[in-house]
This record gives sequence, C-alpha cells and structure tokens, in this order.
Amino acid sequence: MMNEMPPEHMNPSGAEGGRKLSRQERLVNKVRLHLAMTVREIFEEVEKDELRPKAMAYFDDIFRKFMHNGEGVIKAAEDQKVIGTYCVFVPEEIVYAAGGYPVRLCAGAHDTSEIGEDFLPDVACPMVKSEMGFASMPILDFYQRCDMVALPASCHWKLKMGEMLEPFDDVHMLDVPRVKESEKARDYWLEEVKRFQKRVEKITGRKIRRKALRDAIRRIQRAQREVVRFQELRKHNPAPILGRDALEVLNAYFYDEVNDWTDALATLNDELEERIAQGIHVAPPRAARIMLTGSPMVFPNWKVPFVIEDLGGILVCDEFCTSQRYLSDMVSVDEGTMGDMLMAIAERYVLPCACPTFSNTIERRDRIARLVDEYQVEGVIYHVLKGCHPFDIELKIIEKLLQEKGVPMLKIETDYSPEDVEQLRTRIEAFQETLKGRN
Amino acid sequence: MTTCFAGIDIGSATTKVAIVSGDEILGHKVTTTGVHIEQTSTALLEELLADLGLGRDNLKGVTTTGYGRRLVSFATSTISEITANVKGAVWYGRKAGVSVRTVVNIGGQDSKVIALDENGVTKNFSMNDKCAAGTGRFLETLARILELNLTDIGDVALQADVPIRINSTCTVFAESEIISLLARGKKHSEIIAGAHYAIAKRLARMARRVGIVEEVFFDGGPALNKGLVKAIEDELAVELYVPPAVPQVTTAVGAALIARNEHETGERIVEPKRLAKRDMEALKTCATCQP
Amino acid sequence: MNVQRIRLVVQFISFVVLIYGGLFAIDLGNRLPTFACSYVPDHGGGCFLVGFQHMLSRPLPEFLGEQGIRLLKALGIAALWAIVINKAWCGWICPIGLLQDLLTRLRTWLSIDMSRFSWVARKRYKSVKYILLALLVLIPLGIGNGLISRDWTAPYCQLCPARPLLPLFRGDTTQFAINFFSLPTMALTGGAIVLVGLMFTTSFVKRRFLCSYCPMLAFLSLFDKVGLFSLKKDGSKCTRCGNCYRACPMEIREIEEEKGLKNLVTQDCILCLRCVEACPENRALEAQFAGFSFLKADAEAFLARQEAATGGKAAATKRRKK
Repeated sequence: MMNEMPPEHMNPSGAEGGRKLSRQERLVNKVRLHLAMTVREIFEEVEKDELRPKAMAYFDDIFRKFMHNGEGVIKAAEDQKVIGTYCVFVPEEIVYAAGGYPVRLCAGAHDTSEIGEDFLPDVACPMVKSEMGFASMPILDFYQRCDMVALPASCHWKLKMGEMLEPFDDVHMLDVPRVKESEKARDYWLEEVKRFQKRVEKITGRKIRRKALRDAIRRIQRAQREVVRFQELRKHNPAPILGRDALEVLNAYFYDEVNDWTDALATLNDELEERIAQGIHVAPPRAARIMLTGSPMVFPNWKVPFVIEDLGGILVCDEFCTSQRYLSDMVSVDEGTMGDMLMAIAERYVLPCACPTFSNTIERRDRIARLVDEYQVEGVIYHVLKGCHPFDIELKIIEKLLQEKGVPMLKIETDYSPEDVEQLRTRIEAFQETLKGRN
Repeated sequence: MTTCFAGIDIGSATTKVAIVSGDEILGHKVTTTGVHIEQTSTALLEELLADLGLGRDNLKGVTTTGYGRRLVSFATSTISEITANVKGAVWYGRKAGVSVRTVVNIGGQDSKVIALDENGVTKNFSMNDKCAAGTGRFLETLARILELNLTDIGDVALQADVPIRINSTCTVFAESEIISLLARGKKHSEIIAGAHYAIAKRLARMARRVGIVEEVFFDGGPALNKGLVKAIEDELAVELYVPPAVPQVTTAVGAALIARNEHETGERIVEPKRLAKRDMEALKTCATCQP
Repeated sequence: MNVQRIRLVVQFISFVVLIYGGLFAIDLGNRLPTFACSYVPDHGGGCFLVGFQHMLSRPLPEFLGEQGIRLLKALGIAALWAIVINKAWCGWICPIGLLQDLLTRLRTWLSIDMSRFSWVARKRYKSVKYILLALLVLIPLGIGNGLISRDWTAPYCQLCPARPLLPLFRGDTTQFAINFFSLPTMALTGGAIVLVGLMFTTSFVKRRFLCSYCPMLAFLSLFDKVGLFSLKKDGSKCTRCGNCYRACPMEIREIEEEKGLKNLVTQDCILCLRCVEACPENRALEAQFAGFSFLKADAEAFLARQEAATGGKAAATKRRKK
C-alpha cells in the first residue's frame, strides 16, 4: 500500500524509451511526483489511525488515485460529456438532466500553486493558483477531460480566471448577482441558469425534458438526505468519526458518481450507527468541539484538520462551501412544472447561500449561529487563505457574533504551503488549551 | 520529602528550566539549546536539581513547553508556550499584587501579545513567529554591528534624547540601513534607541489587534533591556510591569505551575504525542513580513 | 400529514354544505363572509354582502333608528365569523376558491407553467380590492339617497361571478344570463359572465387570480390583527431559501422578506398554509389558532414531501445502472 509510486515517477529526468523528454514533460513529471508525495504522506498519517470506520476505504480509493494522474477518479462513460464546475453556484441538476457528468474542480494542491504563479500574482488566492496549475498542465486527467467548464464569477480571482482558462478549456461564465435581494437580480440569475441550460444541452446534444430534470433533482436530493443523516450522527458526543474523515467523505462528492457516492455514504452511516451503539468513539468525551469556517479547504490541503485532531480536539462540523454547505439546502419542487423546477434550482443555488461574495452577511451569520447551537461547538477556527478578501472582510462580523454567543474564535491566515504547520500548531494548541480551561 | 515540579521551556535559542514547590519558585537555570534537545534538557534539569539538593524522586511532574516541547521523552505533559507564559505572568502578578490583563513577550526568535480576561484566562493572542524583525535576534544583530555587549545596549539607548527613525521592516535590510547611518556619523545612542522604537512599533501593531488592557506584563530575555522597556512604554502608552530579575524564565515557571496543577487535580486532557524528528521543520521564512 | 389534501377535503365539504345544505336542512345563516351565494336555490348558507348591500340602500337618516341597529347586527355577526375563522374562509371554505384550486390542479397535471406578477405590479394592484370594498358601501348608499339609479341595485351581486356560476350546480341556469333591462344592468351582469370566463382562462396562467381583487378578502383583511388564526416566523431559523414565496398562490413577499413580524397573515393571505409545508427548516414557520400551534414547518416532513414530488417512493429503490 505504501510503496505505490509508479515507476515513471521515480525517474523524472530520465529518458522514456530512448526519446529525450521535453522541458514541459519534465515539469509535468516533477509536479506529478510532488503531488504523489503529498498524497502518500497524507495516507501514511491516516493509516496510523486504528479506529477508522471500515467504510472509509471506499473514499480513500478515490483520493489515492491522485497519485496516478487521477485515472479512474471520475466515472464518466467514454461518450459522456464531462462538465467541470467551480464554486458552489453551478446547478448540477441541469448537467445530470442533460446526461452529463459534473466534476468540481476546486483545487487544494500546493504543488500546482507554483505553476499557477505563471498566470497570477504571488499574492493571489492559492486555490485559484492551484486550479490554473491543474488546468494548464496534465497532472490530474479529469481537468483535461472536461468538455466544458462552468465558472461562476463569484470572487475577483474567479472572475478573472475565466479568460485565463480559455487556452485550455471551453469556459462558460455564470454571472452570479452580488446583491441578490432585488427582483431584477433574481430574474437575471434565472436567465443565467437558462443560458447555462442551453449551453449544456448544446454540448451534450440532449435537450432537457421535464422528467429528466425531475429525476436529476431527485438524485441529488437522495445524496443530500444521506448527508442529513451523516451530520446527525456527527452530532453525537463522543464522536464516532473524525472530522478529517468527514471532510474526506464530503470532498469525494466532487468527483464520484452521485448514486455510488450516496450508497457508499449510506454504508458508512450504517457503520457509524453501529459504532455509536457499541460505544466506539474516536475522541475522548471531553475533546474540544471545534468548528471550521472560512476560506475553503480541499484535498490535499488538510493540514489544519490534521493538526486540530492530532492535538486531541474534534472537528464536529464546518461551514465550508467545499463540504457541508455544498450539500445543504435542497432544490424544492413545488408544482413540478418545468418553469417551477428551474426557478427552484435557480433559487436554491443563490438565495440561502452563505458565500461572503454576496453583499450581505445575514445568511452566513445565521448559519454559523445555528451550527454552533446544534453541534454544541466550543470553539471556532476561522481560516483565511492569503489573498482571500471576502472571508477576511467578514471576519470581524463573525467574531462579534461569536462573542455574543460566548464562543471563542481563533483566526488563522495561511496558504497551501506546509511550511507553517508548526506555527499553526502552536496557535491551535493554545486555543484548544483555552477552551478546555487549562489556563 | 519535598514534592516539586519542573517546567522546561525549550526555545530555539535557549532552554530554561524552573522548579516549583507549593507556591514558591525553588530555582531556575538557563542554557543554550543546541541541537541535542533531549540531552540539553536532561542535563539542565539534573544540574538544577543538584543545585537545589533535590533528586528525581522529589520530582512529581515535568511539563515541557516551547518549540521543542515534544522531543523530551520524560515529560509528563506538554503545553503551548502561550498558555505557559500566561500562567507564569499571572502568578508573578498575583505575588506582586498586580492584576495582569495583557502579556507582552519578546523572545529570541518570536514575539507575542496575549490578552487575558478578568480571570487570567487567554482571550485572544497575536504572534509573530515568521519574521525576525521585532525579536531578540534583531537586537543581537544590532549589538554585533555596534560592537557592544547585548546587556549594555539598553543603557546606551537611554542616553539618546530623540531616537532616529529606522525605516526598514526587515532585520536584514535594517542592518544595511544602520551601517549607512553609522557612516553618516549619527550618534550610536540615537541609532540604538531608533532600533528599539522600531521593535516597539511592530509590537504596537500586533497589540492593536488584540487590545491592550492594563496591567501589562512584559517578559522574555529582552525585557532586561531598559531602553526597550522605555520604547515599548512610549509606543503602547502604558506602564509595563517587568518581573524582577529574571523575565526570561516566566514561561518555564508557568509550565512548572501547570505540572503542579495537573498533579493536584489528576487531570490531563491530551496525552502528549511523540512526533517524529522530521516534523521539527518549522522554518523561519522571510517570504512574507507579517507580524 | 398532507395539509393540502386535508384542505381540499374541507373545501369539498364546505362546497357541499353551502350549495346543497338545504337538502340536509342545514342553514348557517345569511351573514357568512364568503361566496356562499344566496342565489343558489335551497342553499346551506348565504353571503352577507347580499343583505349588506340591501341594508345600505336606505336614506341616511334611517340609520339613526332601527335600520342602523339591523345594519350593526348584520355587521357584528359577519365580524364575529371573520374574527374566529378569519382568512380560512378564503383558503378552506370559499366555493370560488375551490373551483380555482381545482383548475390549478388541472394546470399542474398538464405541466403548464404559471407566471408571476412583478413585485412592483403586485404592490400596485393590492389597493384595487379596497377600492372595490369602498364602492360596495358607497354605491348602495348612493342608491338609497337618490344619487344613483335603482338599476344599480345590489351592484356586487350583479357583478359577482359566483352568481351565474354556483347555481349551475343545482341545475339552475337562470342566473347565467345578461340582464338587458337597462345599460347598467347589462354592463354589470355582462361583467359577471366576463369574470367567470376570466376565472377559467387565468387559472391556466395564475393561481387564485380573482382573489387578489376580491372585496371579500378586503373585508376579511380588516380583521387580520384580531383574527384567531396567525402565522409566526422564527427569523433565526430561516435560511431565506424563498420556498415560501414560491409556494404562495397570492405571491406575498412578506412571508419571505420579514424575519420577525408578529403575525404574517398579511392582507392577501388566504391561510392555505402552503408556505408552512414548503419550509425546510424546523419551526421556522408556525400556524397558530388562538395561540395554539397546530402546524409547524418540519424538516422530516419536508423531505418526505420532496420525495413524493420528485417521483414517489417507488423511484427511490430504482438505481440507474450505466
């Protein structure tokens, strides 16, 4: 299991069957090697955990494939159109209804951030740098496999990334309204969703019919229902599953086929129920209950959850657009006509969305307040990526909210590089000590 | 038989050990950390025990803190230096009848400002552990350029009427700036005072984020530097309380007190994990100058 | 529990009682604030507007005597009905409401999309029903004081679409005709036929189109604050998903926008409770009667309803094999 590095990675500068490698090919091999090293390091750490639920193996397999070009990570059929998505605003129901396969491309690899710096300033958001790296070089095959990429103009980095991606992808920009309260903004967004629908229909060659859309909504609702169950189980104290494992499960939704993923989660949920009944828990009952929020965390950028749980805390829930928020709020069908379903889809992706790129903060504030109460959160760690202004701006507002609720908050500002793990560890340790009254 | 507890603060430059019994400090010692952390800590602890006429069987608990806290095999628990520092500061404050609400620490290679609530519990903190500016390292560099002893620069600084403004935020570039000031014939005292104010300004920026509430406790090796104390008092516009004689060991004292408390209450939240040596990769990077 | 299904049943029972009540010797009186049309032969209850209009068609001095007391008594009984049952008259009892709801069910079964008013337009049209209510008082008074010709007698009954339509259910076609007696009667009774036609056609485009302009709704809305039914919202649980607004047949903005109004039974609300059923957050919306909560928004119930709306339980077990 550990010595899984394929032979071509071991010799990045060597010749392939007699032919000399071009500089580009050498670079690609170097980055693939680095990524494989990063992934292997994570799984070495993860495997030390003897109390891991067995059902996690399914999700591990998906991410292990990152060591081998990402082959087999997505399960699209050969003639199926793959639609890459960014952010949380792209209506995946439409992709499914047209017979496409959506894959979320938000990236967490430090190794590709450096390539991204060819396109973006050094102080750019590391996530966008990493995404540009993956898009411009064949590191994980599903980036190049995309027949179309849907990119919402949510934050400034994503807004400008559209043009930068054009040499590599067929990009469709989605103009998400920033001030979503007005009627015109909502009408506009509905038009954007319909424009997206037309584009997807053109790419897949299949017109979306009412029944197909209804079934697509149903498929995603099924996954969301299983997540509701999962989250209920996570509320249990002491915890039956580590937060970092939960992050992995939710992160796998980016890539996996939705029905398969739902079935795998159902199996995991069954196992967690058994664990609770048998009294198996992964953290002591007095472990500090931590919630993470802020700039999103994507595999393999998991240094923070690892540090939190190494130090004996437990990550009980999160408010990240890449995990819990991605799968909350259902598309709610009212009359079941085509117009009703499209409106339901448009509304679901924008109205309750707690992203800080919107002008007001009320959805996020309310959501965090509710999560703190429902999960009995003792401390909140607010994670800001360097160059991420929307989350940074909301920091003081959220801090005030948490102060009023009597919940301590720690702000950490970091990027994808592993160099500051020790500094993070010191801060998180001090924070957890405060929570547990060790002071 | 005297029951005692030890706290070992393993910094990147110096290691400090303090031994506490009941509510009194029995003694403390300082040495250079070097590369072999376990050996250094063991030797230092044994030396101090010997000095105090005590043995290992008197020792009922050892808590380690600081950069190298996880590399000591005989530690009974570990604690972050922030919590240990606060514990020590509040204890000193109580002994002196001072209610400590803010702790300012400047170490060899880092600096921190910690805000406490009325019960002496950490409320908020800001740390600079990425950049040498605003740490003891800066003062070492300064002393070296001016060919003075580190212990003397404080008195020299106090001789200046008006300090010279040092503009560079980075220690490396400040070095060039200071040399050029010397070449232009500026007074040593004013240059040194300027360097002290530069450190104090950086500290003030960190402090603003966290909030300054009196009384303010100042510790760490550089707290012995009277010139620095004055500069910080001016920049923060508060009076500083510096623990008598040995501000360098406050954190070690705090760790010892925590060892004592853990023994009394029998509680320990987290079993200390032994990390492999490869994790000790905390690099001091100058990539971003960020307090 | 499917509230809409229960509501449909109650609507049917009300329809039978009001239209066929006489057959069972049921008589709920003639002061009901709903379209229990008095022109229906042998009805089980009568709309209070009939008597109201006739009572108002008297010279003003008469209101200082016995006529005034009769009027107050009639209003008092109607008001009592309005306080106790309030808007539920519209959502659960009114026969015209039932007919519109049935047509809406036909429309959704045929998968025909509906359209919505723009928010600005909606706001503007809200006042129409109050103007109509005012005219309902002024025209009879005008007749009684010799200012308006007697051709305008009971103008609302002449204009009301319930008059030509509801007697049809008792086999009485005499009302489904234009009265060519004079110009005013032609216009008013012609208008009634037009309104019936409108009701049928607009039901394929909007929900409860006529209700937005109904003077009965205007009358009942005067009692919103004191009515025993109320709708409460807990803003802290609301995720602002907008489901409630989308489900509301009267397109009420307040249900989505307001986060802490004491009572969300606004002037247009017909208490159909579709908003509470559409809400996915536990207890964000609550319907109360005399302070007692009888229906709460429930996440589990919401999930079950979505399962039914997207294909029913049978489809859940069918897995798509590639």
